Amino acid sequence: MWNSLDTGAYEGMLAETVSITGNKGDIVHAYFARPLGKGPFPGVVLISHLPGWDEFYRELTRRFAQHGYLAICPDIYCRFGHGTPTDMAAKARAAGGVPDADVAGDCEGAMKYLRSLQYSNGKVGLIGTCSGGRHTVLTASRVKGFDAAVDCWGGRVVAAGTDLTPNQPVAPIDITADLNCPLLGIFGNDDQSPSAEQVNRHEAELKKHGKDYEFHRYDGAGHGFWYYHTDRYRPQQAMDAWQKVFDFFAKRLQG
Amino acid sequence: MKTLQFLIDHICADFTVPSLLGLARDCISKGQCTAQDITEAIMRRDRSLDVKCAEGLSEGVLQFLRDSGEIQIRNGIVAAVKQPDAV
Repeated sequence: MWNSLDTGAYEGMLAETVSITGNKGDIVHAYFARPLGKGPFPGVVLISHLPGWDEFYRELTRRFAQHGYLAICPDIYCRFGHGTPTDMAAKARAAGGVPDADVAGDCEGAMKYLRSLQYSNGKVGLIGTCSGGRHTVLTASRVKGFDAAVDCWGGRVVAAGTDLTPNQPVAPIDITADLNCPLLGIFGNDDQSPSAEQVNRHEAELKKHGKDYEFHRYDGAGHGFWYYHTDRYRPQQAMDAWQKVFDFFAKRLQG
Repeated sequence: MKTLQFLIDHICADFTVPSLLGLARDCISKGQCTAQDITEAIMRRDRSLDVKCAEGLSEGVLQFLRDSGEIQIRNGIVAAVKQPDAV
């Protein structure tokens, strides 16, 4: 729980960029943060969003480490080169976006990296916001081994055939039958991608396939309501959603 | 027609509807404004966007302003519609 730390207790964290084996054996960067100590600790793989592998995601990664997780965020833009996060995001967009196969493969590599660590408890979750939310649903359906997944307002989970591209050839809703871990969904009711109707459709599909899921939808919040560096930030809804995420991961990943 | 909010949310652009409208109106107020000028202004404000995403937003905001009667576009130049003087 946020702000429930003991002010007299020791706390330490290591955070650094590392290299991991990603899709097709490619070496990609990742930002890794972990609590100091012998653990064992549960793990979380974070998938960054359309604005880039950016400072927000480094802070998110450290937040999970702060709360006792081995947290890693692969640089899914790595194959486009290096520069500022926004320049790399623009480059990726111009190329038609990051291929789904690369994201899923890089996340699988990140999951294996966490499990290989001596201080891992063997359980790994997955979380992403925006396009990262879509990638979370997709990866949790394509890659076996994640123990829990969190989709934060992923747009284009529900997508028409005309919206599919060579890099993103699948609408994740169409492979709901393959979802292989519990799913938490976090959505703002004012969001238009995904719209409330699209979230309804996703939920109906999860029910139809008997999947373990829970969705939470927030009034007065739209797309990206965690983004405290933008006008989209909604503090009350964001803090409640964060608690939902921590409770969900605690139940699925700890012990 | 897709709403401006949808266009912004779909590409996770760092705009709100008011800020996007404000940027467009600011460009137009400077005179001799084209759609390309607005596209470039959008890309300067949110550098994570590529030109195609920015053009989509530019097109969307101009459509909105044209539909609301606020602007007209002649020979590629965007201009505010002059309001009649109060009598």
